[in-house]
Amino acid sequence: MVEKSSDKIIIHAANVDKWFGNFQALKGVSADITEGEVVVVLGPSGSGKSTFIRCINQLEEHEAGEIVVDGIEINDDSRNLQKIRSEVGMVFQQFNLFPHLTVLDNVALAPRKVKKMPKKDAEELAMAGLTRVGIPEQAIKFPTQLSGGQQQRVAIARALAMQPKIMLFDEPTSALDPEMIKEVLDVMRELAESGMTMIIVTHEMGFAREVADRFLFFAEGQIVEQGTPDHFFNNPQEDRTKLFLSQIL
Amino acid sequence: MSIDSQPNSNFSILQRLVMAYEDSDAKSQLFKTKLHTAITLVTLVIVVWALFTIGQFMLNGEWQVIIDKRRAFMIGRYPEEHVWRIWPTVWMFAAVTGLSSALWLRPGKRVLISLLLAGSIISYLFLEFDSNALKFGFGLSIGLFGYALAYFGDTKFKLTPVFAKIAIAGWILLIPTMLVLLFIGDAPTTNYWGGLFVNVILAAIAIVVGTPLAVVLALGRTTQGYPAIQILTTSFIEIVRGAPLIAWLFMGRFVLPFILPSWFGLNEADVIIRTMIILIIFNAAYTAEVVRGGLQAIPKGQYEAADSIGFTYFQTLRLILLPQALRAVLPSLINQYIGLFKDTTLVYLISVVDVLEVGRKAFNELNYSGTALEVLVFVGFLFWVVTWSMSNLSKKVEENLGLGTR
Ligand SMILES: Nc1ncnc2c1ncn2[C@@H]1O[C@H](COP(=O)(O)OP(=O)(O)O)[C@@H](O)[C@H]1O
Ligand SMILES: [Mg+2]
Repeated sequence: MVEKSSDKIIIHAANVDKWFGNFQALKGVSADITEGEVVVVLGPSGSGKSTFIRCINQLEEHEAGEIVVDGIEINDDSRNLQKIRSEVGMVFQQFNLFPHLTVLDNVALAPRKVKKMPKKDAEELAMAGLTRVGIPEQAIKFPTQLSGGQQQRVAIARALAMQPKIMLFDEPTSALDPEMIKEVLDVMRELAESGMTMIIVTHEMGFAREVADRFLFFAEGQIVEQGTPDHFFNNPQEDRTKLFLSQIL
Repeated sequence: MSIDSQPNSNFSILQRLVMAYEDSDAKSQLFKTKLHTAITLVTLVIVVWALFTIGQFMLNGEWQVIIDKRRAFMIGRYPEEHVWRIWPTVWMFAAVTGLSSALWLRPGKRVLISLLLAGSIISYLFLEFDSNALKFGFGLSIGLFGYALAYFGDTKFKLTPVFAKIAIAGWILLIPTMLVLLFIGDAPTTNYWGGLFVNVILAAIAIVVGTPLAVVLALGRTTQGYPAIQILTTSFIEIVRGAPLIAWLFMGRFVLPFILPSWFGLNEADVIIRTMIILIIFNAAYTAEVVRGGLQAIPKGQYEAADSIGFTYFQTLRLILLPQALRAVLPSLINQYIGLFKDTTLVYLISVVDVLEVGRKAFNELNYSGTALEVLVFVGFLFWVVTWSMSNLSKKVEENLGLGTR
């Protein structure tokens, strides 16, 4: 296992509640994540995995509890929100690239507009990012001209261009054809090895076992069990965990 | 980005028609059964008869009225010594059109040559060789010059960004320039405005001012979490759309003076200004619904992606939402603008003498009695030229944005 550079807690969530109308999607979720840690979130569909990671960059507003990201507390101050979002990158199941912009512009736009980087610098940064995810030659194409795997790699490059400290992945390979899953996982593996703090929702158990420092298992809006991959594969405690693993493996 | 990629461009139109006929199903379909043959023959007879009738009308029509009244058709009774206020706008329009089409649209050589020919023929036949014909010709050459400049600036030198900036600045400054020239100094009052000039100005102002307003209205109506804004914008749109344009124009003429605030003498503004206000509002309400359609078609994921990379609301709006929404609704937008342009003929009801009204006054004159058809065909032709250019332009823009293909 990779040696952690520090034990600094970079994400602190305590007793987070989230309601959708009358339905409680998160019930007092608490988790501390240290810098450089790779956390894989598991759980059946509808258990609140997406909702949890979307609370971290406030795509969903939580109703109760505390979330602190890199020392910045999420509260009503919109400047805090902006600061957190530029430190937290996110990759979505459906890629969500901007279809009216070239691949290069998709990646360069945020550094230019949010960090006010000069156009030339932002484009250099974007090209470096595209090279890192292995598709520099696609820079002047439009997203829809790319395969799903390539699009998802662009999406990763777009998030990385903001030079975030934390990356969130919400089922990044679930919308991909099987032959394209590996190219995306390879990029994520490289990212994990580089020391990025990552929270990944995925059903790719082989990959998860390989890169994760810790698994969080969600059921019905709560973290039911957590531990190392080995703990989960060899010695799961809760019945719901065992049931889930038996279905997925 | 390829230049002039028309297929088969080495063949004449006739050759291409024959080739298309040979290739298509038409050859086997037209005379497939006795019924097919009968329908084909009947159609042929109708087409020949129509062409013959139109040809006869073109040759034998009393076209003198058009030539005599050509000034009135264009600018009504605008005084000759003030016509210099209009020409610079026309030239500027020609120049930015030339620049822009070379930069972004790349019409083939063929289109350019036919435009040039048409322009020369019009200025020769219609304007005769007086000073206005010269000024018209000057405008044409400026347009072509702009085209050539941008074309060679792109292919031979790396000047495209410079020309692009000039073209964009030109479009932005076009209407302000026009208004300044029309009002500066001892300008004739708007009572003197008339002819096609009025239709174009009214439509242009309503489009240019009304569209941003429409975007604001559409955003207001789609906004979530601010019910007051939603109620306000929704009622505005629905009330404006609820009554016919005529009713609003009468309102503008007879009621607006009493309800407008007195800033800048707004309550005493003349009828054209009030008509402009009405048309802006009217166009904004309809365009808002078009824009709203575009906004609602944008998937939720686009908002989430924009939020997640740290964009503010206005950055998301300007960089992500509006470009996509406006592209998606471009055809409906142009459709709305074409309708608006034709609706400007209704202003004759509040005694503004637009191009159609000039025509009506002309064929009611004793000298020109019996020329109603000629006049109406001519006015119709003018409208057709403008609206046809608009729809062609939108087609070109769509192609360039890859709307149909993506
Ligand atoms: N926007 C929403 N409105 C209402 N209910 C929602 C919304 N988003 C998620 N939910 C509900 O919250 C629960 C958790 O959803 P989610 O976090 O997406 O689950 P997971 O990602 O684990 O599949 C589900 O029951 C889902 O139906
Ligand atoms: Mg989910």
